[in-house]
Amino acid sequence: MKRESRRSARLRAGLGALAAAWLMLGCGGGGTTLQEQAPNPGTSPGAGTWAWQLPANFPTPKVPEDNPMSAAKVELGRFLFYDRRLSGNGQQACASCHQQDRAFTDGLARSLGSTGEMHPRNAQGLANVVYNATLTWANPSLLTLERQMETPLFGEHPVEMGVTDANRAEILQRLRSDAGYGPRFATAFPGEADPVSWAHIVKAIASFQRSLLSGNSKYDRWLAGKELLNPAEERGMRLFFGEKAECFHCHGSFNFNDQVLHFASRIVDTPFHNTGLFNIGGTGAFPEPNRGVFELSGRPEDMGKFRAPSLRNVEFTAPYMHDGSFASLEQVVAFYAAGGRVITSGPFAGDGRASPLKSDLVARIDLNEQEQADLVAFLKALSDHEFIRNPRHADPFAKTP
Amino acid sequence: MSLKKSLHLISLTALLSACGGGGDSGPAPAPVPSGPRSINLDFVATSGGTPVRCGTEVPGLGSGAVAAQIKDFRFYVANVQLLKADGTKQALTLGANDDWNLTKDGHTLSLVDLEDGTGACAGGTAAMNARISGTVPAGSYVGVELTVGVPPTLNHTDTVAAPRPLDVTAMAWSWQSGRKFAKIEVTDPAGATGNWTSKTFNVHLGSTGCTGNPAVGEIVSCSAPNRMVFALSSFNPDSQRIAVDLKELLAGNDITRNGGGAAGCMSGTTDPECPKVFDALALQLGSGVPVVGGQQRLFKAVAR
Repeated sequence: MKRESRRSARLRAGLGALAAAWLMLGCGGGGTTLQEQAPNPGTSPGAGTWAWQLPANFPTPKVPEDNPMSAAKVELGRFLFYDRRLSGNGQQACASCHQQDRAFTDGLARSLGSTGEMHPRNAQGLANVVYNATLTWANPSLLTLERQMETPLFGEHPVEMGVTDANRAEILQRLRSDAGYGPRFATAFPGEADPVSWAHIVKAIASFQRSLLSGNSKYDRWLAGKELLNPAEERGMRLFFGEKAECFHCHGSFNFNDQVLHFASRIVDTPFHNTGLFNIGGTGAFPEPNRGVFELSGRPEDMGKFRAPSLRNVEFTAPYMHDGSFASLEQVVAFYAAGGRVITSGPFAGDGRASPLKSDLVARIDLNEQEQADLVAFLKALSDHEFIRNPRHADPFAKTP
Repeated sequence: MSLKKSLHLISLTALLSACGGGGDSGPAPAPVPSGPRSINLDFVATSGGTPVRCGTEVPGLGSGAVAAQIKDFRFYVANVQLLKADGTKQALTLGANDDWNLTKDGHTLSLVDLEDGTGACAGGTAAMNARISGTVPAGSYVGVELTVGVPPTLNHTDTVAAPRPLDVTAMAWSWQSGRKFAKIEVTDPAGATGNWTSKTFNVHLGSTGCTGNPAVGEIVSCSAPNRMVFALSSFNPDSQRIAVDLKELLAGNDITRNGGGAAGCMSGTTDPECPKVFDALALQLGSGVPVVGGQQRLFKAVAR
């Protein structure tokens, strides 16, 4: 027992040093659970002040210069995020596929658009999305939430929100006819003759998304010395950060991913990985239209490369992988333990473990049942139960009980 | 021939070669204009030379020579230049920025819209724009050079905040964070009850392989620009217009089925329908640059 706790303390000290490195890179604030940033990069004078309430060890976020944060924009964005009137047929809101109680995912393997069209990919969580260097599963050209939003709003293949040239004026009219929105837009975008515009809608929703910070998991509280991990969680953490499982290669940042952008970032790596999920016909191929960065670049070496998502709140975001291939965390961990997936029959048959395009970071690691269960226990210690119930992120249209 | 009639002929010739319409041709010879000269480039959707439009079946398309309905027919044209006989080029100056035209960052850009929102084009707009108008200095011009595409500095702008005509959502191409340079689509004329196994054949041209620098929040490069730059070396805007020929664009592809990748060709380098489409555009599929010495077949000078 005593030896166990010494090892635990040593690991915490090591992770604390990692966290300290983040702080030095990012802001240099204190080490308490919540810290206020002053001065605040990215505040908007005249539209209410904004003070980042950052979890400990989180760097100051980088915000586009033309869309500084403000409390008024975040609040307007919250209404818009939950408003079904924003879709062409009034059937779907952003929140339809990004539900707070699932850490802003939808519980489906693949999402459904407002007209019933199935999306080829799995809805991603939005916790800490402000720190993403690129957005969506595999797109090295999508750098800001403002630009990313054009896909769900205007995309035609598939239709998501179904906003078109034909209905976009009508949708603005729907919002104008709601007495609540006039003052909210005017406060968020002061000094504009007609602040109800698509540019402002996009900016406000992006601001709301940037406010979705999650850093109060059991792991974070353990890091701060406020709570103990149980033995399974602690064993899982050692595997996670150790050389055996090597999860940290792709999920090693404070946000448990490997593409991180923050205020002090100078050079930002944007790695994408082929994890051996498919190996059709032994060529390394993934099925259309889910071939990762290859879909955009056409370069053979980009086949099957996807962005490593953050593992914070991963307990709430099933099913997993870009196409919802796995229903449970246990299946995901077993997949990585095997170093790839074997599909024995059908059009996608192939041994993913032997894919010629698989990342060298995904090797067979032979984790026994206990070790796999320990890893899952640790992943569940990354759950932020406060985040998925935080009233500041909740549906403002919900009837109060 | 009477004197009056021959003077009329001279004046007509002067008009055709020099000023491009407008003004009454009186009995006296028109002076050679010294000021800017107006140019109208008119576009017309055709198939095998016959004008076509939304809402009417277009016969004989693709390898199966099947009938189709137009679903969309829009494209961006940038940096129009008129060509002189000595090979020099003169940029066309657009009028004031409006719904269809933009002059910005040293580029001119127009959206040519040949769909009218009827029939299978219901997802489009009633408004059309078949003409690019501008001025050039007085002089004699023999041809025209066009770019089908959006210049890089304008291509990756915010759709919701960008000036017209970059704000058209149908032309947004968010997956490459840019614009569709061309959006030309045909669909099964019998709709859901028809026998096409893939209901729509889309041609979406745009820059691909785009990557950005998150540290500065900018798109830094696209590996395949896919901008069509071509000349109609003999073109008289007064007597001719520019046909955009659907039959040439779809030649060789079975438009009723999808062999892989996107339905039709969305500029994917491994899409089996793209090689023939890009061949018609004289673009190299993959590198996205014009084929050296290639001859595009989509645009043709035809009599008005």
